[in-house]
Amino acid sequence: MNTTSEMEHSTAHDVLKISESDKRRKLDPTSFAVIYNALNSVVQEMSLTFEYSAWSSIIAEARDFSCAVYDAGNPPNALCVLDGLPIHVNAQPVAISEIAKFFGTEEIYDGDIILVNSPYYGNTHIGDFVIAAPVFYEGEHLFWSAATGHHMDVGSAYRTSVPVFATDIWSEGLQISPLKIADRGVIRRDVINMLLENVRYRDFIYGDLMSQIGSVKTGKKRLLEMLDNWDADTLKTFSSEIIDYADRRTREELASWPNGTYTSEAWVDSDGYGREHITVRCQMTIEGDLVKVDFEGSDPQGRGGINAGWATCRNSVSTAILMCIDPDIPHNEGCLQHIEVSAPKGTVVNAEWPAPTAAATLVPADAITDAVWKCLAQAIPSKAVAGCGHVTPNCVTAGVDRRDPETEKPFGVILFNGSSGGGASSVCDGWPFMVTPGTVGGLCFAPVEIIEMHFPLLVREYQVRIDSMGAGKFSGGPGLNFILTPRGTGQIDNYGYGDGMTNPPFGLYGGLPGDGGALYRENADGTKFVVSALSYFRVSEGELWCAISSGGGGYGKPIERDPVKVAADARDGFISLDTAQNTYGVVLNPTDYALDLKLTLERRAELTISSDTEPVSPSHPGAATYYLSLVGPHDRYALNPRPPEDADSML
Amino acid sequence: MGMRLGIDIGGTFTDFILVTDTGELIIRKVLSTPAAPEEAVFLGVADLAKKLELSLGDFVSSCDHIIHGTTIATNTLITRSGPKMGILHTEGFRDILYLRDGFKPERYNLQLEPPTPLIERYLRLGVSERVLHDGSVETPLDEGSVRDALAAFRNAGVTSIAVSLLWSMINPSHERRIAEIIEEEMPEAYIALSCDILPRIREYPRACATALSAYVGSAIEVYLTRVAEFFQTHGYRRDLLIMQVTGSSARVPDIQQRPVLAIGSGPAAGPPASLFIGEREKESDLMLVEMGGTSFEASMITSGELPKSTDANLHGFPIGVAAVDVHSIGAGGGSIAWIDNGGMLRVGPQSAGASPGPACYNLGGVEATVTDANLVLGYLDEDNFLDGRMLLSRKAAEQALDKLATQLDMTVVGVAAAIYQIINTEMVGAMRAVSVMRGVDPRRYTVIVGGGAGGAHAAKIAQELGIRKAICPTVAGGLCAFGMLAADVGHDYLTTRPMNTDNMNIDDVNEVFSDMETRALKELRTQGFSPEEIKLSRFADAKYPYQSHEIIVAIPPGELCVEDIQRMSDSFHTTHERLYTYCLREMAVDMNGWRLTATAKLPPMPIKPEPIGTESADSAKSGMRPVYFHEVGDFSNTPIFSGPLLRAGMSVRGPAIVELPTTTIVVFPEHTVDVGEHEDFHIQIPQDDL
Repeated sequence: MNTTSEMEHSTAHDVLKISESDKRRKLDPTSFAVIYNALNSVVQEMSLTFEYSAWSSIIAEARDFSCAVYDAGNPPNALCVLDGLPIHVNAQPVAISEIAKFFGTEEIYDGDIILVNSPYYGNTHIGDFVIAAPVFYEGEHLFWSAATGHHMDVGSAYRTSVPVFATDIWSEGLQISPLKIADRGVIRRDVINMLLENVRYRDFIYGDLMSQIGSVKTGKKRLLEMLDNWDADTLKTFSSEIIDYADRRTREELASWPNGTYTSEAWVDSDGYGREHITVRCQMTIEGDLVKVDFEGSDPQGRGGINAGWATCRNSVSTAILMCIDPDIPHNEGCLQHIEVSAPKGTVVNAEWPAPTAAATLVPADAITDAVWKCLAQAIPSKAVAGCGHVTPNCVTAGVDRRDPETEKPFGVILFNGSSGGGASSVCDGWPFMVTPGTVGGLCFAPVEIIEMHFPLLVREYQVRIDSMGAGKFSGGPGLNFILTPRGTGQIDNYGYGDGMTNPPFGLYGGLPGDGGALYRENADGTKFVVSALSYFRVSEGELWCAISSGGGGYGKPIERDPVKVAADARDGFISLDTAQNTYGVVLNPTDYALDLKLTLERRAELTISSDTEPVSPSHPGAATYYLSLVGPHDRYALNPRPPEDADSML
Repeated sequence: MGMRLGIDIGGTFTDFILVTDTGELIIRKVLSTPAAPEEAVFLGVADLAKKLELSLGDFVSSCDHIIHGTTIATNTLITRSGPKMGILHTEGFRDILYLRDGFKPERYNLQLEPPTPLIERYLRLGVSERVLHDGSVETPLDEGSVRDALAAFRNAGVTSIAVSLLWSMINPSHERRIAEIIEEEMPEAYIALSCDILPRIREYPRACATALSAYVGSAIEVYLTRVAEFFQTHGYRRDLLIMQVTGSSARVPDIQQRPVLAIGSGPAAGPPASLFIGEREKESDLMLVEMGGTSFEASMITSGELPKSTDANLHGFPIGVAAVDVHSIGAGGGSIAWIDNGGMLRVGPQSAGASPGPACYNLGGVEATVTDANLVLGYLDEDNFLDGRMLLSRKAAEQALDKLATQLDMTVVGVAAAIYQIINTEMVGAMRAVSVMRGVDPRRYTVIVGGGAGGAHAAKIAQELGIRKAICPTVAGGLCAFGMLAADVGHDYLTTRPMNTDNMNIDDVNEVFSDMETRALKELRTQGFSPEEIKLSRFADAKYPYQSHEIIVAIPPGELCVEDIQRMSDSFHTTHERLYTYCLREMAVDMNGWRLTATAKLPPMPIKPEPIGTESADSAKSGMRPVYFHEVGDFSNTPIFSGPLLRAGMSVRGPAIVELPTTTIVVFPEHTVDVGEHEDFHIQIPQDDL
């Protein structure tokens, strides 16, 4: 290098000297951004640890878990929640608060690991285990490392972790109030063993529990390393600044939302005991940077486990809103404080002890999300989405694997494969397999070959169902046919824990609803036993288990959909020629699906006159007719068929 | 001994690395010609011949080995320029490619466009047949349904057909029969069967790998034939070798049989390069840290074994084969710095790429990038970037950074230093994620530095991860092309036969391996390798019953006996514990897939070590310039060394800058660089004891 350029650089150097203002800030921009990234990577590592080591498909494939870091405030504030399952995001903080409250500062020690699953201690439903480890540094409690995961079994009287027919918390399964599973660094073998003695599938639960503990330990270890690098004061300052940061961004986002009050209704299909169309009434008020949601007037809690506890209610409201703001805003307290929720006690959205809540994260949660989305659709149409299918035809399936006569093994599995499609948005079609508004995708399903290898089940069909989605300018994601038969087991017991079959995914601004899907057994003679979403039914060899999921709702008028897309949809068998012509107003040649533009324009002109323009459709409960259309003169339909006495023996 | 030539086609440049018979390393870059990529290859070869003052024929015929990494498959996929294609599935399962594994990314983004499968639904058809998980036929193949589907394909102008039936990896007879029918009905059609492409359980990755093969197969065939002919015409006598995603190279006909192996194979050469460098520097636990213009690639090599994973995907399409495990994130020299609406400084994932590129390139880019930050911090030299092939504008970089500085109320240098730290934190996060997924403690690893931007960042990333040593080879900027020269020739075999350690018949395992080994030996022998030169490595895909993720574990060689079942289980339990912190030793283990990797080494390259000298590095000092170090909190006047002048045995203490032809090493205060006998630069990083 020559000396000339050396001189030039020296000059530049003087000009560019670090200014004092960089050092004056509370936390300089560099440290702030670096810690933010580092904390994200801590939570990512926790999630990977959990996902990669879990045993059951609910965690490893369906990814029904969430990891997060909290400060040790009173109550603890969420600092980093990365890619958490939406249904956990704003519920987990309630559980962590309950843990902190239960033990108080006196009884929380370095090395503790605490478990809670009771919905009346801030959890969602007992299937979700929340595990948290306090992080101490130099004797001071600074953070919580926490993970929520759905476990296969919680010792219910019924062979499912979603026992919707349980009518109180005691028949639902093991209710765990804040419980130390590790005390000052020592795993409580006695406690873990007691838990395992009370559940079926001991090995599964043990494996998943170990991986969940591994996850919070990983989080703790990394947080301690961060504390070594940054010192406690800096991280405390960061904690408050990251909340301010999310607050700032949320405030800015909400500033563009119009002030006003909007109302809506959404419905739960049934309570498992014959009561239908349980109504969630929602009033949303947008006031500056505050979104207030109130559920005054909602129906009383149900007899089966279709009720939401407070954590679920609060969570379902906030995640529905979070999905309509910039997903890059951290979902911490600074963001969540802009959402205010109120709900009368004793209702389906805020049940009172000891009401059962087994399906809280699905059934009432989805109705709450629908209600909030319907209000948002009126307030900010461009950001709103049409209804996402609920968990309509999903079941917990249990039986005995008798393929090897020497080793008869009981098995239980939740197969998500036949899950519903998502709603369309104002810019694109919906996705298939969105499962429920509570997860909005983000799950994987079990491969057919893995199902057939692991379980005595033979899958007959797994593909898109024609005309299942709500038509629209943008159409909903399609529903699916997932059909299987038991093979090498004799019979399978199925516990449907879903919803949304009689109250289908809603359409927006002229878009049509999805059709709701259906769940049924096809008997050996070809007749059908159609059941409601909450149901028990048995399927024997020679019979078919048919999970027919709903497509999502459409957005905008079908006659505004690009005719070229309609032609492709018809050619590809997503929609029928009849739907193309009579719903979309697109006339196609029936052999090669060529578009007849002239007839299409004429047909669309006819349809314009009759087209519906209500912002949300349907506006009344029980609108779905698809499941009823399956019930012919020789078929049967049953609302809430319940398990017989012999359904739950393991062998 | 003849010469060895590696050719790596990249997005912007086609790289050539030649090792001459005297061990000289010649690096050449030619602008890529995406419309007809072979033109750049021919041009570059002619260029090299000229440089060596040989005729084209003399040059080509004196090459012993030519190894080529092609992007033709990748380009065909990205531009969706493949043929009209159809796929046949078991009836009732025509949506396997559409439904994928169900996962929707960006969970909170409800306005994300749903994905478009490679094949439209009307060309994804079912045929009536069904094989069960034990291989038994439940429903025989209805040939009429095949012919009906083919009639539909013919009508639609399909020229390439994939076949992916359920359980074909256990019983391929229906797929094979379908191939015969296609040959009768549509003799011109390109055919890919899933039982050949990826005989592995899990219908989606298998169908996807098969569809990808059918999609890129014809293009690869045309291209490789053209390139092979060119070399043959000019006197090349050996097999043209093609880099595979598995980390070894294979002949053109092998690639034609399983085109999926050529997809995304460029980055797969990074780990073999690392292994080669690790071997000569006597390090076997390596972490590749490769930072280029737009992407950051990381890979963990444990105990000198190429890491393999079946999770690899290209643009969202899983390839399913056991590929070299390279983890990639969108972070590079071109990553753009910006301020979000909450006032936080962010870096990436948007990249300025090669065009318009960083602001300092003066090619129209106005946004501040990592490269701009590095220039302002003094890590790069305005006049001596890429060996002086490109001039940088510090002024343009400062202007771009100044916009951010004003908004943040920081100085330009403060922002540059922040960008440098933030991108490092992101890369450290990515490295940690890879470590967790692969269950390794990164502190015991030695970093191998690759990529043009690697030299400025890798040592800092290593320091954050608690690592003590990073090695930056002279070829860092062309590591992948070099890796092609260093990679073994090899084939990978997979047989699916589900077993469980509780009732395993060891004779079945022996039979599975003996079949694969017979095939492997035969194939490598026809390539001229003797049995002694061939290395056979066995693996199994293992998991606990009902578990979802599988682990690839090593299986002992030779005739196995009943006692080996316990050894195999133990190896799984131990690996599981290492990866996931726990294991259940009393539990039986499922072993479903049996793998064989057969490799043979090409003759050693005539690269000779240089004797270690005792001379001081002062002779290689080319000047001084102010360089910013976070540790100092300011600029310090820092010595600059010319890499090519640094000889074996010389040592440079940080703070310093070492300028190499393809990368610039930033030597931080307290770090030291020792030049090894192979002109590898050993960066020593002080750390507390483990």
